[in-house]
Amino acid sequence: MFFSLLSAAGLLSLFIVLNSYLHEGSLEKSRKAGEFHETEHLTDTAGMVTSRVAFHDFEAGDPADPALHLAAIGHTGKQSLKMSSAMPFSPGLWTRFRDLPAGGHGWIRATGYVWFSCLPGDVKCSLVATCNHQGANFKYMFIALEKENLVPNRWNKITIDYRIPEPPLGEDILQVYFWYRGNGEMLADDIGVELLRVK
Amino acid sequence: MKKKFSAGNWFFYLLFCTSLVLTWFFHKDAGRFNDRGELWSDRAGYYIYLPATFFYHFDTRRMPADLDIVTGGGFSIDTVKNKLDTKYTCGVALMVAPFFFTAGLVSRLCGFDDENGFSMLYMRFMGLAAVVYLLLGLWFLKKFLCFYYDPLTCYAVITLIFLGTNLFFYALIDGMMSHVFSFFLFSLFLYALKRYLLLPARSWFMLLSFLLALSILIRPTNIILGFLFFTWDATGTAEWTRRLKQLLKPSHLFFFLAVLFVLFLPQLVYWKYLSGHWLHFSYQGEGFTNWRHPKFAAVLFSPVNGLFPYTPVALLFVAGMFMMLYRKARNGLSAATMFVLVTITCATWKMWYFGCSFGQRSYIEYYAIMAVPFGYFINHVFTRRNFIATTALFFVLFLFIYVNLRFTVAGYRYERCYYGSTWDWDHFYHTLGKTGILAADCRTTTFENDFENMAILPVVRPSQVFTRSGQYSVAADKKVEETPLFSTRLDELGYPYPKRIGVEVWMLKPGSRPTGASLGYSLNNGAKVLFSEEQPVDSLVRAPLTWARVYKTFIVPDVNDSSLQIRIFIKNPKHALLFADDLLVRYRYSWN
Repeated sequence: MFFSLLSAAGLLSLFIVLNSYLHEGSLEKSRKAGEFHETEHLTDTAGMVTSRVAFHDFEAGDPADPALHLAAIGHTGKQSLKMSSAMPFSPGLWTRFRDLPAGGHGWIRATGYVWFSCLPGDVKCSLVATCNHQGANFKYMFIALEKENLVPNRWNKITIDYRIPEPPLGEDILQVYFWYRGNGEMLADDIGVELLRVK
Repeated sequence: MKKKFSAGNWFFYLLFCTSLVLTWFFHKDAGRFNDRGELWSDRAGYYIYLPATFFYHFDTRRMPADLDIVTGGGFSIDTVKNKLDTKYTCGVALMVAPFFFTAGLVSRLCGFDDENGFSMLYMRFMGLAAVVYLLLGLWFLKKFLCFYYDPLTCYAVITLIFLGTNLFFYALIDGMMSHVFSFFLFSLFLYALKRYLLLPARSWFMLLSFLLALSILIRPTNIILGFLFFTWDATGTAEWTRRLKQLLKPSHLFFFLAVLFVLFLPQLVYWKYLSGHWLHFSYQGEGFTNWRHPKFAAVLFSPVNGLFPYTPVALLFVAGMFMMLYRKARNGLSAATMFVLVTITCATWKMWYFGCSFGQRSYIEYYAIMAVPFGYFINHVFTRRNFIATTALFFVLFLFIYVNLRFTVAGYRYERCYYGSTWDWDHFYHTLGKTGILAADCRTTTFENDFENMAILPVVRPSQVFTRSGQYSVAADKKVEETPLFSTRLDELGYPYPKRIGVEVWMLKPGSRPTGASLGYSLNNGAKVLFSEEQPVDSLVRAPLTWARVYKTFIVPDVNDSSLQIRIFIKNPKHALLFADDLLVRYRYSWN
């Protein structure tokens, strides 16, 4: 009887310890869930129709005009966009859902090139794809450049894949842009957005 | 010669001291007028007879106008008619009266303000009353059990009933509910019954009559305890008949009825004062309305205060009962019949889950009877001297005690209600996770509401006109455009917030005309709508008088403000007649 009692007490202790261990694991998982953001990847584009819906090469305008935030160096051309705290958002895609081609929303693939001279971890910038309904963003997805192991002093290609969701209204907006969050400077060029749909 | 202070006495002495410390600990930070205090809501409803009699003389104009509100609405004060209305009977008040008078005496001697029976001292004395009756109940139960089992089994059984069931909660935390008092009366009744059966002296019969009458006064359904008078220890129907004849003896019957009348007299006088009639059904709008469709499964197994999910040790009571029946052991049938009778009583009662309760509290007094099959089961396993079986039983018993105490101390000590649906196991699993019993995933994935549990009813009053499941549904409000179905703050879901929520609800329209209604969703910052979507109902609810599934996946925008509120509602601009039931919300934390 005594040994049974002791064994049962031991089993209960084991149960409690195991549960608290699992509970800690669950809490840790929940904490980490907030640290990671969801991304999407379009792996197979076979059988999809591609159409360019936006492209910005920043070749128009005078780089000497500070209001235009242009730099006299480009990825393929001669100019690019100089992003800073004074110019935190780049142009990209801004379209209403109702203006997208009919027949399923499909995917978008946004690409841009960035140049910086600081340490890669200090490039506080994101390539963002998001939707907007009544002024609130939803399905906000991004690539954080500081986590992408980019190479300084050369053009780095950044791409984001994004499955276009079913919006509440046709009035809602689909957007793609670079958001510079740092205090220094960064150049962005050849920002293009392609729409990919199944034939 | 000095009497030896036995181990048994030490056991009860320690139990008394521990219970006193615990009840003080559980109430020490509670104010006087909140749900964690001794006298709140139902508890105040049982108690109010004493201050009403001795301080206010049932003159409501002398009472603070808001006394009923500040004590949680357990009774109501009608100053126009000068009536105090409590639906509870006065049995508990009678039993705590000695403690009430002692509190009054101490207040007077020490110069404390008695605050008309609602001072902290009175509250503490009511906590003491519950502990005293608990200890007496356990003491008499042990004495009763010792007629059948060895002392070790008796002590094991009473310890397990105290620590492993919701008696612990209803003695030390919600002590002013009726259960611990009924438990004491049941225990003493069983002991007195056994003594009476051994030696049918008139004094024991008088005590039995008094105990049964007081039990009925406390809770009229306790009348089923009287069944044991005929069947306990009886060997056959001949014995039952003999006892019935014994009861029907004029002297016995007269005495029992006289005791019943005397004990009920204050109650009859109160009912006369309240309603103008000597007999009055105070539970208006309640009653045994489920008698056609008793909720047996829900009473025993539902996550909403089901007997077994909250008091798993009761499984062993039932196991013992079956064992006794199988082996044709004496009293097996009596115990099983009592279990069935109390289950029928609960399952046919309109609010079968008994509101904001911890487990099926209506069984608590019957644990005294269930102690016999429980003892039988324990005795059987322990006498087999099988190491594995004994270890397994010990483990299960320890586990059930652990579950009960953890549930009580970490959960229900703060939250008196279960905020889930009748069969929402996901919510129950998360409740177990919150109390630390199980390592549940921290994320909420679903929410169900069949609109049966009043604690999560989104509207003031449910509808009983058309229901898809259970007794209630929600009728679209005819006066306002939006009828709420569900709401939650984002922080209740934990970060990261869901990306989408799938909502499914069953709807019914009595007429064939389009209603123009829709299932609405919004994310609000106070009254300001930040994000909204709708699903028109008419395309999905086409046929009249037929429940149809309305569903839609709504988007949760990416926001940082955790105080924002998700709302699901019926948008009904034409004020059409529309009913909703069985809501299911699924949270999706990713887009893929």
